[in-house]
Amino acid sequence: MSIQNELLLTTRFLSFSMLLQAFEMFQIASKRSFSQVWSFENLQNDFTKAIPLPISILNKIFSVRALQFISITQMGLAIYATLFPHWILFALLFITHLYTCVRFRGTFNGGSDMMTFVVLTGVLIIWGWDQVIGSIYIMIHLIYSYFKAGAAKAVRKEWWNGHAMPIFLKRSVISNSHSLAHWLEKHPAVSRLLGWTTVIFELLSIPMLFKQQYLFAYFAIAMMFHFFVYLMFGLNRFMWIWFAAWQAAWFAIPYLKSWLKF
Amino acid sequence: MTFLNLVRALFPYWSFFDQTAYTFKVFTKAPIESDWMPVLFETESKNNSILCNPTVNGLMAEFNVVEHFAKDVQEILKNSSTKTADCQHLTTFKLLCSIIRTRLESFPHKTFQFKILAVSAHDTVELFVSEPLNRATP
Repeated sequence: MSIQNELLLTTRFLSFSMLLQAFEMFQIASKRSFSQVWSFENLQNDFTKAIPLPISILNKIFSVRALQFISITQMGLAIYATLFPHWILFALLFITHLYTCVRFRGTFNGGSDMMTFVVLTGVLIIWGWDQVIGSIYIMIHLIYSYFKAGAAKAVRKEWWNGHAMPIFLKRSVISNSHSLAHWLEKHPAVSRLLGWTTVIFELLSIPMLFKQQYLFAYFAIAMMFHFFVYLMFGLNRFMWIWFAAWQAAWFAIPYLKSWLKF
Repeated sequence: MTFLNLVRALFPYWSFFDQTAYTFKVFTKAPIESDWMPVLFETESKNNSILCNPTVNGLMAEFNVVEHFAKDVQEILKNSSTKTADCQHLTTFKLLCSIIRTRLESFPHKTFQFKILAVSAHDTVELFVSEPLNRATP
């Protein structure tokens, strides 16, 4: 099956992103403190309530060693899928990712886990069924992810009056971000400008679909935005998986435009 | 916890940085006669890596536990006639206790206590104060 270059890039960046996620998870799960906190004993109430399997089997499935094994397996699958993409590999990566999310009571890294599932599902559709439908599925989620995040912020006055940015920077696990939060508190005009810029940038995602000449600029700003979020909040996973999703969007947008005749 | 909760990442909802009201701070004391000290969920930017970020992502997962525990406590208090929440059975309580135990490893004392504060720009609310707990894993 021949696959368009943009979609091949999506699958390769998805595989690369999942390789990084698995390597990171293996390192986290190898720390001694991890076994003390994320032990099966601490989590077993959730698993026994939600999954109808004997406790001895659940103990084996969700042990720390099993998580390490799954992480190594995901690394191998991701490397193989980067070089030789095939739908079976993505189906297996779907399972390893789902396992990791379940192991952390639903999600390990919030939005990046969700976008990983979106791109995985899209890539499975691309390789197993239809390239256009798969890429449009990814693109709709990608554009909507910005728009919904912007809409959720737009109804909060803190994003308009400049209070939101310092609030979130102070909550960051990166301690150096706290000094920027204090600086922004002393410079409310800059903080207000950053808040407005963020909301407007996110809300512009849907109108941008109708102005394809600006779309590459929007993508460049989006990547800078993700890089800033990584620097300030440590959200590296978001940057990689959103980058993978953008590659599918380049392929999908002309089809969407011709379908919708705009 | 239901099965749908465990697989909720399959159903994306795309809302980021929209909860501006409260953040949660954890304090502990060991021994319990001592003063409260903060349990920090932060690291320096030199530990922030764009490729592989285990320290930062591990800390974020731990802080998620704090937020989920705070949510669980609020749920219990909403449905309870008393002002104290019985949380010992909660998974989030067990996870949070274990997180604090790992932070207190170098402390010689046998017991500890912790509390959660909900902090906003305008006020601070004491959400939960634990009973004295055993520092060794039960």
